[in-house]
Amino acid sequence: MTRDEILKNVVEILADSFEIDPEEIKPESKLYEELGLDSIDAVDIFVQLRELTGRRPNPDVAREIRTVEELVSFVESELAAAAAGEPEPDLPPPSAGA
Amino acid sequence: MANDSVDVLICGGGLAGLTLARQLRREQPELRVMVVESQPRPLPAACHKVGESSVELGSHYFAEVVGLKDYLNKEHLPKNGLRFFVGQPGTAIADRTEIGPVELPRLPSFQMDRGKLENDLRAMVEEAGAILLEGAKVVDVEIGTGTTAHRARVVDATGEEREIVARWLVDATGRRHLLQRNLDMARPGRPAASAAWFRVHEKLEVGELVPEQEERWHTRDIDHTRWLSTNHLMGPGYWVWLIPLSTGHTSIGIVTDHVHHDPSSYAKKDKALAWIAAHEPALSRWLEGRKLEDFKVLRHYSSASERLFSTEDRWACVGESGQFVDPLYSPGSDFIGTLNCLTSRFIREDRAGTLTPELSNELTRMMPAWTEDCLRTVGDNGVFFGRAEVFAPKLWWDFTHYWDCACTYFFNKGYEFSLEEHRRIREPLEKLFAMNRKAQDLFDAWARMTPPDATRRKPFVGLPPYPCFLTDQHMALAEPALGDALFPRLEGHVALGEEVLREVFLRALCEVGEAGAKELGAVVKLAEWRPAIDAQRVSLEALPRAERNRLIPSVTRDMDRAFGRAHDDGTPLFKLLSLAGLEIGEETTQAHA
Repeated sequence: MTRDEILKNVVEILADSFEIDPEEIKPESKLYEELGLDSIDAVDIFVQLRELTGRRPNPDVAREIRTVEELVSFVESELAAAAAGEPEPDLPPPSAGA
Repeated sequence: MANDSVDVLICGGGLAGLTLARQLRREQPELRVMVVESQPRPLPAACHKVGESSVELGSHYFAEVVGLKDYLNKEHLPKNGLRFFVGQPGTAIADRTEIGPVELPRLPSFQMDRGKLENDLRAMVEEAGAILLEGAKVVDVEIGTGTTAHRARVVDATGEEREIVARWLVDATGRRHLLQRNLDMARPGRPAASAAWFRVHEKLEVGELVPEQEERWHTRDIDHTRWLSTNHLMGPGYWVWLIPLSTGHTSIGIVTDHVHHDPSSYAKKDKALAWIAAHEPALSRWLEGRKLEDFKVLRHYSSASERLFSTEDRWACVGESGQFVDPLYSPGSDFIGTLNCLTSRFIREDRAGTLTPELSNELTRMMPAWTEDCLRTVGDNGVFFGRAEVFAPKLWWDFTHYWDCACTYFFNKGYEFSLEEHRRIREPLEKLFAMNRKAQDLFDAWARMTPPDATRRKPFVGLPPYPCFLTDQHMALAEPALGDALFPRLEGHVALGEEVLREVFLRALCEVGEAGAKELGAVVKLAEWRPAIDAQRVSLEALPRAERNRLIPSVTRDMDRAFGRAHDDGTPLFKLLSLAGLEIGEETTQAHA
């Protein structure tokens, strides 16, 4: 997947899931301040991105992402990691009522 | 004639009878237990019976109560929940809405090969010290009353006739309905529905039915566990199950209601293949050239019984001998577990001389209430199977209700409670049942009053997603709430149920719009229900997304995330509620804003 293709997919996910006009979504758009997303939306974005990457993201890396462009770079590096056979991060299971 | 005397005679050595025999010998080792079963060993693996898919309650029963945890983990397949592909016949599976677990659920359930399981259970039951008469037929039973014992005439495998005298008689004969026939207790089950099934001696992954180019569809299954689900290919009035088995077989079945599909259209092997070609072409292509084994048809599968127990006369109908509601949501093993646990308790209390009519009435009255609840939930449900925008919220409701009500009761041993404790927990359970009736009325009306809209297809809806209230309810089952802790737990479930129902109602109200508001209000008896919806809640609908998300109840946020926002016709929610029969002063909104 090229960067442009990734961007196209990311825009589609953001527009479909969060009622954002695709025209408003630019690579430099800030997810939280400009696109009005919050931390729960972020969880949903990363779950949906698994459809592109086939992997669970590292939450520490995911937390640092602020813009659409950074999301694209994140998908790009996840795809590279998957191709290189790097293991997924070792994640604790979600706990009851958490 | 040989003569045997036992404490418990179990007629029928299928899954219900065998697990009960093992449970009784484990819990009450002094009991003399005999199982009479007509089919001798070995049962053929993989082509024996359906009912391979167990859900949480039944799995908990097998694993924890019957002590089969290690065995099931080792010899059968872990199950990746129930997964539904909702849409229209003839369409590609990737173009339907997929509703199912995001990842392998942490609470276990299993795909069980019934032939293998029953062979192994027979050995375990003998090892546990029960007497197992295989290849034996019950030719006559004289059902005891009051103080007289039950007497059964049995012809054993050698042809010798024996008389078995038993204090307790348990009917585990399945669809032979031994006691029900003898006592004329049969009652109608759900509306007309039938099924046909067969097996293929090969592993079928549902992913094989979807072209490779559907990259996102395939990549979504990051752990490659989708095939371990009970996969349902659905369209209006029908579903087709795909169940993998540890023996390398795949179980495939067609289930339909008679309103949409005449069972004659698939009741023979060649007709079933033609039916599949017309409705599920991708599956049909996969089946080409493959051998169908063990083709069976069951017309009008749903059955019910006036009674399932008599503690005065000491008999019980377990498994399917008393009732079978519907295969949707795989509840067969749930009924096996619950009826077996009640039977075990009655036998124990009877021996101890503590089985009072009050206790027995209190415990048994749960069963018709729960059966009624299940019948209402599956209801006349064919209309939903082509309607993901209504079926997905219904599935969320149905699963929450199942986990909060039946599972919570069973996992915390509600069936072992004292008379007073049980009366106390029955109150919140009955509230949950009443709530479910209203919810089902609401879903029926919603589906009836809105046209299907294929443009609103969501590719995937988590069942459950994470984080979400549904996940919390599922995971809570792993946290015990025994004894006194169960009552507040159930009260919490009632409060959550009320909130979810209220919010589902608001969603449905938006969807039916101005034209349907009045009728929907009448369906849910809004004037009498008076859900706690205030002006502040209603005013949130007019806010921009980010602000609204901060203020709406979290259950609503969860539903919006999963299903998308409700579609409306532009009519303000205040007006819709007023049309539906609930007046909420709009001026308070201004104060809030």
